[in-house]
Amino acid sequence: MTKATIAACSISFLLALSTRADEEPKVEAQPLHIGALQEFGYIVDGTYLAGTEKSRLVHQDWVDHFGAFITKDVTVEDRLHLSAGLGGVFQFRKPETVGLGFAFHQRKAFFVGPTKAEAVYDIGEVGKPWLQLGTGMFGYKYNPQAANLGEYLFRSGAYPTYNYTGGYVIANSAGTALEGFKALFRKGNFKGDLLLFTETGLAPMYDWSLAGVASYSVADGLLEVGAGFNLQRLIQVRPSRTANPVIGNSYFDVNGETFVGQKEFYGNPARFYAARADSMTAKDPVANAAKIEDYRARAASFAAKAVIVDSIQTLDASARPATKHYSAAAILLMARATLDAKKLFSSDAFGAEDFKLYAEVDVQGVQNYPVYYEKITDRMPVMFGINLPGFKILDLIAVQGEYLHSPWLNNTFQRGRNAFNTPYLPDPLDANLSKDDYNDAATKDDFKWTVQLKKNLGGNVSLWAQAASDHLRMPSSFYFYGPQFDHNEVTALDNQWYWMAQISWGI
Amino acid sequence: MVDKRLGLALGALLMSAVLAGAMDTKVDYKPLKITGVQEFGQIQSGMLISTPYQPMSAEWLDHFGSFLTQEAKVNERLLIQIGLGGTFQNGKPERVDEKFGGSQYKMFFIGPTIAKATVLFGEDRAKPAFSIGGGIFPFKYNSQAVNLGEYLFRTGAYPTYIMNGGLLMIGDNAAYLQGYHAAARLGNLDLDLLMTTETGMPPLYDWSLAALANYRIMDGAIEVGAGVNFKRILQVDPKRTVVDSAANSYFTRNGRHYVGDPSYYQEQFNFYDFKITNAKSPTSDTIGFGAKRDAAKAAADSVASWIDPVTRTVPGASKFTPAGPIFMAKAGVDFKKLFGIETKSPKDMILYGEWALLGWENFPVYYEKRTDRMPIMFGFNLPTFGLLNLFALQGEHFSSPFQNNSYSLGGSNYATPWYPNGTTKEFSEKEYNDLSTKDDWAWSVLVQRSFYRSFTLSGQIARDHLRTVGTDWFYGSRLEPTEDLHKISDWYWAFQLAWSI
Amino acid sequence: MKANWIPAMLAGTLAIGFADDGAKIEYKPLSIGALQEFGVLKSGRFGAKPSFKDEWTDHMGAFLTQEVVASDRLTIRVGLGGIFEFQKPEKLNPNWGGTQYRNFFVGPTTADLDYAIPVGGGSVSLGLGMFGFKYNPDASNLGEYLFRTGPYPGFIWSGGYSYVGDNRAYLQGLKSHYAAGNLSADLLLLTETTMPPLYDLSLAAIAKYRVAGGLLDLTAGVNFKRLISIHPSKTSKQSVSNAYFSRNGRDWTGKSSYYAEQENFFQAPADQMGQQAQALLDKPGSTPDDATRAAQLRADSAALHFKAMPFKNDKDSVLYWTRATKEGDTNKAPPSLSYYTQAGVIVMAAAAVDFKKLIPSEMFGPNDLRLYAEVALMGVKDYPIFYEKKSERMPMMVGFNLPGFRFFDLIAVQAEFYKSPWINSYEESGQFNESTPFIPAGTDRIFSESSYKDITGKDDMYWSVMIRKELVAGLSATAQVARDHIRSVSESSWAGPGTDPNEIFYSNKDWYWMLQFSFGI
Repeated sequence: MTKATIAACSISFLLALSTRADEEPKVEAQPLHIGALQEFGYIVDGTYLAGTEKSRLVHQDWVDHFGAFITKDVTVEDRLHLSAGLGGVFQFRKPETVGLGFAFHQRKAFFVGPTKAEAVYDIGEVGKPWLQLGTGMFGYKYNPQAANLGEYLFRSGAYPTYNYTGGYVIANSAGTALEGFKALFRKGNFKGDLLLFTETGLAPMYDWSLAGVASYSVADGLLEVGAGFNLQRLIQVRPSRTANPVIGNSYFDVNGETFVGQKEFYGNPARFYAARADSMTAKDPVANAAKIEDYRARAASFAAKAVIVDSIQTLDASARPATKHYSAAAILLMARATLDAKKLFSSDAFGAEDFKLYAEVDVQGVQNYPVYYEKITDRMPVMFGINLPGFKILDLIAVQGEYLHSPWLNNTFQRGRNAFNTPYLPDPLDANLSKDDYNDAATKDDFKWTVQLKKNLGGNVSLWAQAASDHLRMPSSFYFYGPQFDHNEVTALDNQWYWMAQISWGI
Repeated sequence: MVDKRLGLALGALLMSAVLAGAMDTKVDYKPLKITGVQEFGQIQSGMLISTPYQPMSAEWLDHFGSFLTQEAKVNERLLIQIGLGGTFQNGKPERVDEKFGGSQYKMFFIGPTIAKATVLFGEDRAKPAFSIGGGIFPFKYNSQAVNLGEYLFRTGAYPTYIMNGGLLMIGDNAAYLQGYHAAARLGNLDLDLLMTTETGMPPLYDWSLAALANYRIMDGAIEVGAGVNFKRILQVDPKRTVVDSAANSYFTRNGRHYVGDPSYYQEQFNFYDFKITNAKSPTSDTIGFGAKRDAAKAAADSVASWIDPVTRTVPGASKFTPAGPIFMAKAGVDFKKLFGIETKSPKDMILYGEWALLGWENFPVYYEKRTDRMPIMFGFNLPTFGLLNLFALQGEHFSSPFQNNSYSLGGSNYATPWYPNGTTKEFSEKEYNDLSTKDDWAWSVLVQRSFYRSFTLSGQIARDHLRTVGTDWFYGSRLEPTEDLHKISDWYWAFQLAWSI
Repeated sequence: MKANWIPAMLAGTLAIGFADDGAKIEYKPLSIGALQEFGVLKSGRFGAKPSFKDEWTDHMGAFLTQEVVASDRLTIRVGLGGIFEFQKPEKLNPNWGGTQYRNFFVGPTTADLDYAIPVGGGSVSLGLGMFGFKYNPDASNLGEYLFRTGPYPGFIWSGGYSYVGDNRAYLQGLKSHYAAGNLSADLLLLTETTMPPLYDLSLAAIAKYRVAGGLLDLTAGVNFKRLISIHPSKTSKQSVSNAYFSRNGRDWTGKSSYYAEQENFFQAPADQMGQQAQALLDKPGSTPDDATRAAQLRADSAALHFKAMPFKNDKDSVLYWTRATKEGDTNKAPPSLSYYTQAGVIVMAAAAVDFKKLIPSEMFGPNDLRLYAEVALMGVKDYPIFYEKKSERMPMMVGFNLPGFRFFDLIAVQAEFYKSPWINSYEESGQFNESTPFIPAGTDRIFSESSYKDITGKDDMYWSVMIRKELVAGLSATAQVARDHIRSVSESSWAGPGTDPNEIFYSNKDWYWMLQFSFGI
């Protein structure tokens, strides 16, 4: 497919709708929807930055968000649904730096934009269409049980391997929004969605992805199973940005061994182990002799490889070995299941969300690449959870866990800084991220968890509380790309977590 | 001048006082209007004047906008219109950097799209004969100018620049004004008087006075119109509008006109010198360049020596000013009405044109000929036989000796043209700044189809005055100083879906 | 995360389950409004930049607000809007750093809810969110101190992103309101999300009593500002330059710049004179007149140097003592430091007499003939050196609404006296999170002419005249001439609201005029 194909498809899609007669339509406008929220809480322990700057640990850092939104919905001839909304969230960039100038951050940032702008056309019976065709900017959520963790088919990337939770709002923020086209098919217990959407969040911009999501409900909702795929960046508007053809984003073979073109991959650990050896030598060279020898050997091994890469980098491109390049394009897969256990024992004591057991597993990139992305299991987050009984006192008590054994930090630095599809390689002197081994922080972030409570007060007000160690990022006072978040997730290290309380109201 | 500004305020107050009158309040709300627009496309070839210059080839663009507008009428006499909205887009060039300076994030250009109060007079309140109002509002006097044209409020005289489009590529063909607007609708004659303040292009806040007339003949088969815009007639800070600096001045020495900017001559010298120095052997391409080089060098050295080192001005020099009247005339012939042809689309078969003079006064060196400041637009809407709502072909001729560029206004508030480095081959190939001779023609093809009353599907191919939001530029509307399409072979295509109800 | 991060969040939020439980829902018509104002700042200064004359300014804003009442008790309001304006001073630069482009300060204008509970003969409402709050309806420009001031450093606001009619405080937090007969009271728990240090919680209470059918209105209030500190290290910064101490029977501040700048006031011209004298003597062909002039310059320089010496000694002493603190060298006997804090108790009292009640007549409009006053104490507690007298933290506003005879809706004449020995600025709070006043440079001859910061003796009087006329229903014109506490959106200062920390009109002679058209329905 090419870019011209996108335009042609778009036109065809819309011409299909345009065959409708130009008659005076019946228009039904809904009252203006308004909503607002306030949330606040503590990053009890967290990590900021981790880019060109070393990571910075924070303890008890207060967070406050305030948002307001308006949305208008209109239905034309019972079949065409038009929506437009505007809204935004006030918050402060992190870390807060004290000073008056532009470089400092003690001022409210307002992240404002269209919240929704879509047109959806129903095909089939009025009110119960079997097919809906839509376009615009729209919210999308395929896993209703993913209260915080999960939903990675649209909230993750493969190379580098990253995933997100939350956003400009932290609690009750587990969906995504897409810009493009959608076709929603409904037949009995089966749901099937096809989506063609463009990338305007994280660079490289504008690439188009094609995704399909399906679910099937069994035994009156006792069990629901779902699966999906996302051909991420299938159509690349500028392939040289999607797979940057430079040595830093490459891998190549030298004497039968595969190397990457980023010298830091070898140089950083070499510096780390050399520094550790020096430090131990200064303290007690006799008692630490074995370790010192080990560190020196490892440093030498990495340094030797760094020299090889360095020598390759200095060669003219035509003289280098054949290079291949990491790409941001990927195939993502998803499977999920939900068991509504309360269907097994009838009782009025339980709320609608109580006693649901659920799980989601994703593959963030089917293809393996040498060196950085060698095992598919390193890119497979497994989320599982249960909604504890709230007995209609609380509307939701969700407890979620997640396991993702990635050898890399959940970090988008290389994408923002260099347009590389490679993992973040921490500064060797960043003691937060490399303690006993280089980048050993990446081995301590495999397990994530969330506890979320919700209480509706009447029909218009909701209270939320959330404690979690998840993939939260917040707007950064240092970084200005994509959604302008930190490169790295905040609760990246052992025992790092946050709590957040939210009140939201609307009508 | 301060007195004039106070006079402006008092005048506005006085004008408002005539509106005063107590009455009971009856409010008639229109349904909230919602609009969404998505467009994407590609600049096939073009260039940005960021540092370094950024040639563009197959550069993708994507814009998304959302708008809400509410209209209410109070006592059938006061019309209030408020709209809020904005468009998402990315700055160009797209620069890979995770910190400030990078441009890999969405910018949302949000603001009031309209915020206007209009008092209506006349017995027919639905079509008031006279109205007076003010605020921020879109204004469009040439309904045929679907892309090119609409010069009265989308141009500047000194430096000479033309804008079209804005934050959208398609359909963004009105001027967004802030100020006051009086309108009279007298049968076939429409009259408009506008007093507007400049908040889009520096120097800021200056006020302009514009008047327009439009007359319909033979039930609109023929339409003629004319207007004048006394641009920056009231200057809130004359020192900013007319900058007292050598580089913004001109003078006569030894019977010859000069501008007080030595670099203007130095860059010409650099060009000829570079060409001569780098010529592999003397060829016909460099014949005469030696004399031109020496003349440019002599002029640069002379001008530099005439600048007073203390005041940084040339004694006795006159100053360029961005203020000046812009004149416009337009005409249209609707062949459907003329020959009684019935078609499904009311926009079919209209032939139209618009002419403008961007600044009456000539100035030495930079602005010596009025014909250099005369854009002429002509167009024809082809018959669409009910398949389309609009199939507009437009052409424009504008023979300016300089780039269509507003950099001097943003960079220094100078009313001088932008000129390129002499050694930049993109701008100066066979002669210095000869790129400006390759941009005289602009063209645009727009097809539009509305359906289901709420949707409009548009496709546009053009070489027009498109400017993209600049990653590096922080003045005015943050658009590129120069149009992205520098020569007639540059062009883009775009596709847009808009919905509104 | 995939595309469209921003709307993802926002759309997600909108998906909150606001199920219809059958309650009666009454939508008010969408309220829309806009304003345009322009005028000339006759003279003043932006921050510590050079002073200016005749600076044009222009603001344009638009707003949408929706209000919904559910079950006659729950009122929900959400508004969005913003104002276009330019940073000052306008800086020529086409790249980043230039300020010749419009900024749009957009955000929720209001987003709150109120729940009404009938109680006996009165009513109680409980609410929360982000809301505009105004307790003194007569404060058309000056006044309304309880939420528009800070105690340490002492600063006062008037206006905001617009200069005319922007006379209320914008608060975020919990609120409650009680009304019964002539008595009404408000209790508020607020979080600070504008002025740094951020997030601190303040507790405020206001009571109003109406006497003789509105002939006399009495109001009093207290604001325990930053009562609960989220980051105590920011609210009460434990740095030497935010400290005070006693030594040798005298109070000192650790902010050595306080002494250094007083020294500089004398020493900088002394040094300059010395250099001039030397240049005269070194000049080839120096004449006897030059020698005489040089001698005079040296004498003048010596005299100034002599005046600078006490401040130099103070500065050196403070630096010596506090260096011991910084280095932890107990042998040097570091002083026992106490720290200034931005937390403080602000108290306010206001009264208004409505003379129309004494001379009832149809010819007067509802705002005519009201005499009113407001006084506040910005910080009950005194601190050594910087905050020694309560009277220096007491702004007093008095005003009178002249009769508009139903032609003008308001003709308000206000005056304010605020005798602070410091410049009205939050510079130190924004720059360092410190609670000390702004210490101007001794070499800044605008603020220090005959003596150090003598401008503070010439800035005590503020005034404002506002005339408003509703032209037709929904459309008003307002003219304002004033010397008040407005600040401009800054070219270089981005903390808090992004305005310059100093008020624009730094001396009694500075003023501006502004004309505003506003409409709303």
